[in-house]
Amino acid sequence: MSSINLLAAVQSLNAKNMQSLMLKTTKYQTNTGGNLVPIADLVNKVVGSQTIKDGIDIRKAKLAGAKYKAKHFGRVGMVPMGLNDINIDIQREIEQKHIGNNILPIFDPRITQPINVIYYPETGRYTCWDGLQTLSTILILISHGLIEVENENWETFEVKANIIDADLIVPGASCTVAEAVANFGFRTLNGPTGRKKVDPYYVMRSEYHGAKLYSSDLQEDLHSRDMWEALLRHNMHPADENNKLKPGHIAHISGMKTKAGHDKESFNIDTFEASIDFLSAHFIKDNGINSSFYMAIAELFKILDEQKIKIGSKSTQFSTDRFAIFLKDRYGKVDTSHSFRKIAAKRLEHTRTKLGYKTHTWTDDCSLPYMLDDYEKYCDACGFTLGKLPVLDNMKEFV
Amino acid sequence: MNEDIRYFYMWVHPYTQKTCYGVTDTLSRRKRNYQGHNGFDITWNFIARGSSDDIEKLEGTLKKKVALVEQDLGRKISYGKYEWIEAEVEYSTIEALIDNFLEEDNYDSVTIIKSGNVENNVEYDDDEEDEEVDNSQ
Repeated sequence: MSSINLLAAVQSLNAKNMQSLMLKTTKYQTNTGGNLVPIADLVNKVVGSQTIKDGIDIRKAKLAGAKYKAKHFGRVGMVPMGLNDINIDIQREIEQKHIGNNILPIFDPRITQPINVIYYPETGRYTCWDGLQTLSTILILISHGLIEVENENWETFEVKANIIDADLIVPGASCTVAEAVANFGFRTLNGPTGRKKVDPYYVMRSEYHGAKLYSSDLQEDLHSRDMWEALLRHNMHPADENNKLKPGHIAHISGMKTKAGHDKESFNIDTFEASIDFLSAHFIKDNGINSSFYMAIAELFKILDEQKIKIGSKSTQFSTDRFAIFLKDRYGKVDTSHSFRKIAAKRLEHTRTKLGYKTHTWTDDCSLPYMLDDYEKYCDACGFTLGKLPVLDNMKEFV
Repeated sequence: MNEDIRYFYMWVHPYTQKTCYGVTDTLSRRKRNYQGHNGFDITWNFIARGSSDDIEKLEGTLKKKVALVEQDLGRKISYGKYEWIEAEVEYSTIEALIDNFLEEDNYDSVTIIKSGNVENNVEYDDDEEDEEVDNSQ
């Protein structure tokens, strides 16, 4: 009979998993051998698609046979701070809290965006239509003596800018010149049709890479690294919108961060990992983990930990095996069309209607009370020992 | 008895050479149960003592790793869904794996009482064999 060395087998598996983890984290390491890919390689993959062709057709019609020239793109240059005016009918107000809470704590001069300005040759001045918060932050830093300025004259301090001459006319444009461009530009860059909001998945991936690949010591990066690796240890994955229906994927990034206490002193990776371990062990084959279901499970494991209730596959206090069997029996699969959310929403609507509510806005708060109430009934009906359930502050509100 | 203390044990079946493992809070009672079922004496090959959390985690980790190895090999190396590992798995490598778990993870509460040929001088409840009934006349 052949003899198996269990230690060697497990170590070999661990090595394979580590290799797989490395591959996953450097998903864009292609045959070129690195994570730096020529722009043409990326564009070539999409340039012929129907979606792109549709957009091009609209643009062609607007251009009516004309073509853009390099001069139409404006120019970049350095603009003295003191020559900037703000069109207050276009720009927002100064976002004091945003600057104080978010920009200043992590300020890095290399990561400032060029401001967008219109240049008026007759006055020699500029109107800034995008970049007010950047300009304000720089001036605040100068005011507090944190930027070295020649002759202590802030007005001469130059900032990088994307400059459009006020009389620049381009083919196929919906707006004419000067402040009309500024007005349209502000809306285009900052409105819903401009820059696509970055999916939280990419933010978390950036934080994870910050700690994993670039030795960042930012708390948000360290926490994201711990969470990401905990997921991978259990063959689970954070997901963006496009991948949320894949087995073992969780797209509710903000929910995961909230429940784990991401970037807070209360960060608890053990409880987070316990919930992921549970989802992996019992629901990894479903097409993604539904957000409401995830929130309920994460909340459950958090409360079990807080109330020091022992969990385990066969724990006499809270048996995870039994709970998983109940979840599958009662709610079925936990993918995005998961019946748990539907069942809970229906129950919420029914209960609220009886109480005289006219609207039934969904709240994740009802998930765990309903789930534990269902579990209690299930154990009772099946004659199973219930064990120890956590006490919920909001149980009476819903059950 | 401190109710939070648990034992993780392993013993090798003298006839099938399969390795049995498990968790108990009373070794003597567990041993009597095995002996009662099997009809022969058994000897613990490995005993570790620690908090119930750590000991249950240790057992769970072993079980999970065995399942992963089975998945990788494409065949079973455990018996059914029970805490038995087939004879083809060399016992000393199971013990080495447990040592490896204890070294590489945080098992602060765990003490190895018996391992391989070494028996530490620590008392455990298996010494309390005084409940046996003598039916001889």
